[in-house]
Amino acid sequence: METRQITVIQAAAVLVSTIIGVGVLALPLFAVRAADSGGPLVTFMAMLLAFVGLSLVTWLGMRFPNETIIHYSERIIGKWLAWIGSLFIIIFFAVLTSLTAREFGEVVVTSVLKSTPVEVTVIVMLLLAAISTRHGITTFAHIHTFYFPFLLVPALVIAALSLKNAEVINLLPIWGNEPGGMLKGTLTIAALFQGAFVLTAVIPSMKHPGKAMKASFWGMLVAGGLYVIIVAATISVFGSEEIKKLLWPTLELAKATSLPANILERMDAAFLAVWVTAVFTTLFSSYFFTIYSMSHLFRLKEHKLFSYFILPFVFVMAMVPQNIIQMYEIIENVGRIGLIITIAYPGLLLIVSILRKKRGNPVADNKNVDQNH
Amino acid sequence: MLGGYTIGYLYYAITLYIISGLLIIYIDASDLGKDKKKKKEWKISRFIGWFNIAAGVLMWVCDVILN
Amino acid sequence: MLTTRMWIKIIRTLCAIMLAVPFLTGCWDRLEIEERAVVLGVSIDKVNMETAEKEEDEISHLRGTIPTPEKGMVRVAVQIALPGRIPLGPGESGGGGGGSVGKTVWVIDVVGHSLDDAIMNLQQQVSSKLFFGHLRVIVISEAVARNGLENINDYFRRNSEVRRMAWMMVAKGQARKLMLAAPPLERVPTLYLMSTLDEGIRMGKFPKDYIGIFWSNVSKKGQEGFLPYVEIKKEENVEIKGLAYFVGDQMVGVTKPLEIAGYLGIKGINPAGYRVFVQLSNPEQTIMTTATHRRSKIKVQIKDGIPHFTIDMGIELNVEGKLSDEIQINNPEVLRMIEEKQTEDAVKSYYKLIKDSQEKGSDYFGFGEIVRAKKPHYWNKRIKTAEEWGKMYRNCTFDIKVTLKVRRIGMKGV
Repeated sequence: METRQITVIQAAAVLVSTIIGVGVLALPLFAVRAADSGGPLVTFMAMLLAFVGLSLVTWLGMRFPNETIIHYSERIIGKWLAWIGSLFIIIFFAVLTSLTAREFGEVVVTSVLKSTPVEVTVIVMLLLAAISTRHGITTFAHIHTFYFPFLLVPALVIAALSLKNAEVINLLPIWGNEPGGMLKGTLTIAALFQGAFVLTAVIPSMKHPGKAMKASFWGMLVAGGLYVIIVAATISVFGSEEIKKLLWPTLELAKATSLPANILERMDAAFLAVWVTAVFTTLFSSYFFTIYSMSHLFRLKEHKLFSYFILPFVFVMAMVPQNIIQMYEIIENVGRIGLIITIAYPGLLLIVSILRKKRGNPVADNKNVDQNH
Repeated sequence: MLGGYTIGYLYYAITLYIISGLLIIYIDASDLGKDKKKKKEWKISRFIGWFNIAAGVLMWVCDVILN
Repeated sequence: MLTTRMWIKIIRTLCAIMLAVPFLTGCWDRLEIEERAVVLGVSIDKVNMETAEKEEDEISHLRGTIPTPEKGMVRVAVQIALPGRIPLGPGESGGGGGGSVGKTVWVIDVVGHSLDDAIMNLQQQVSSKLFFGHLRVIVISEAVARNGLENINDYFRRNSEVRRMAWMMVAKGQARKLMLAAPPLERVPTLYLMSTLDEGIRMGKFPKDYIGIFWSNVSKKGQEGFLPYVEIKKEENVEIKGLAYFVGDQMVGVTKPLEIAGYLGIKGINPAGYRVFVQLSNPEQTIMTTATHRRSKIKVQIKDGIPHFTIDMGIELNVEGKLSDEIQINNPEVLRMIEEKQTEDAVKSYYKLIKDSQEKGSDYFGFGEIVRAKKPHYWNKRIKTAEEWGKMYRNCTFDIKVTLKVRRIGMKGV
């Protein structure tokens, strides 16, 4: 294991840039389908749900500050059951990686590079992620911290500039006119947050694992806050009924927003540039988590040997959806199933670990602790 | 064609399998081979590398036979 | 014999070269600017079936295989920018400075079963790829608008290049004329059309109504859309003739130019910019005022199951001029008289404007959105859909209160 170097801020940055990803584009559509003008509320509830899930994971991680979920689950529920659980986690994150890459490819093919084959876009993105994952987890955290401001600032600027065309009346009533799909929508949007599960891999390398809860709180607040702002801005500009007719409302929002004095009359190109970075960090996280967990499952000291190994498998999975509508159906379903893996499973582990009074070795909260196992 | 695509991504997949296999063998396996402590990793990397190459070649052969 | 080590080296180099190849070929979607046909404006007209059928070539379908649509066929004209001809700075002489069409743009027209079909036919005749990223103005003839815009809205929404800040307008008569027009004020004709409306917003003569806003309004359950209604005058200048308002995708009516001021007043949109005549006691005592600032508050109550709106408006005025010296503007009493008289006229015109829209069942003000937002229980129980609101809107009652204040009288004392 590497030295513990990751700070609280870095951990929070990992969470934020992992969560904010490809889903931002379709997010307002999911929110509006659930409860028209109540979209921001649905997003907020999803954020709370996701935070509950993440705090379970964090709590577990703090009980076992030296191990990842793959290892401590074996101590909690036994080797074989844990093996099945871990396998599901790995497969799920591999699928998540492939769907992220595919969704990215679809957006690029539809809106920017119309004659570039989607396969090429997907491969390039996956290759980029594969090459980046060949380093250790400290580098992983550094890369995320580096890109963090590039994601946050432009998204906020676009949201702020779009307020020029906003109408408050579109956001009323705040619980929506037809809040029938609220529960389903909350689950769908909460699924967009589940990249935060990478925290289980980050905690064992944190300088102060005891402060992991702080990182997850801030990470969730920033990412969730940004999500709520984006949904609110999109709904207030377009109105909920119009959003139902748009595939990627956030991209449309960037298209309808111009910089003051018409320096840039449409921001979609600028937005897409930022968004590519956001997709990369998300893809990077899920790809890294997949191979990192695989190496832990097989008790290997090195994870980079898997970085190219899973590339073709992820690519083939990315090509499974036949068309864009089917792709979104799959994404929504996989996301909801994923909630079982990223919230219910750790919840179960936590309960069992409390009942069986299992916990890991505490870490001395010093600065230069070197834990070599 | 794979996945029912009219314009298949099969050749992309075959290329990717073979190249990724080669990369594993020539980069990872050779690196890990130098490290005495990582014998297990070295074995696995050789295995998965050849596995990917075999998968790619097999897919290619199947494609040639079927067409 | 080569050793394994050398083999590894060779293959590594080969791999590196192979990886570099895709990056060296350049962009897949590379399209040089001169290979693009940049479309600046589009006009859509209705055409006579028989002549159109003959004119149309068998491009997107063979003759007779697709029945002609019930709504008739369309003639689409596009304005394509000529690369290198569009002057970039004010210093350059714009292709001779004459500014007639044909200098900076090229106008071509085609027929088709639908907009998409027509564009396809057009692409068959134009060598470069049509590019809609700079599309600024879409002009639709009144006949097409009254037939419905589903197909047109669908096409432009689906196209990823079209910007939501473009203008869509309804033309009185033939829309193609606006594409051919070349007002000398701007070097690029469509930019003139666009600036007519953009300046209108700045002078308080027109509400913000870009195509994106129009789409949003059409989609909303408690609101209908409206578009600028324009007419080309004899010097190839363009007049904003009113608001063409819709029910769903279909145009149902049009207001008078002055009634745009009514709309702006009811919505409380600033800055204000309309001037009106106020006749005090006899025709000689007529003065003209200009509005400078508007404010409006709309409240909704449910009375006997029907929404009742109270609109409380305030407008600030300046005196602009008078017809004769019969009236002296030198004491507050006169200003008060002007205020009273104009209030009376204004209230009457606002009632009429709303009444007209109620008769057509087109709530382009968005009163329904207020009901949806502020009275969700009532909305969810009684209305729910756009159709129901269209019916209910006809029965709604209104209460309009206007407060006018004359503040200034210009540089003349009397």
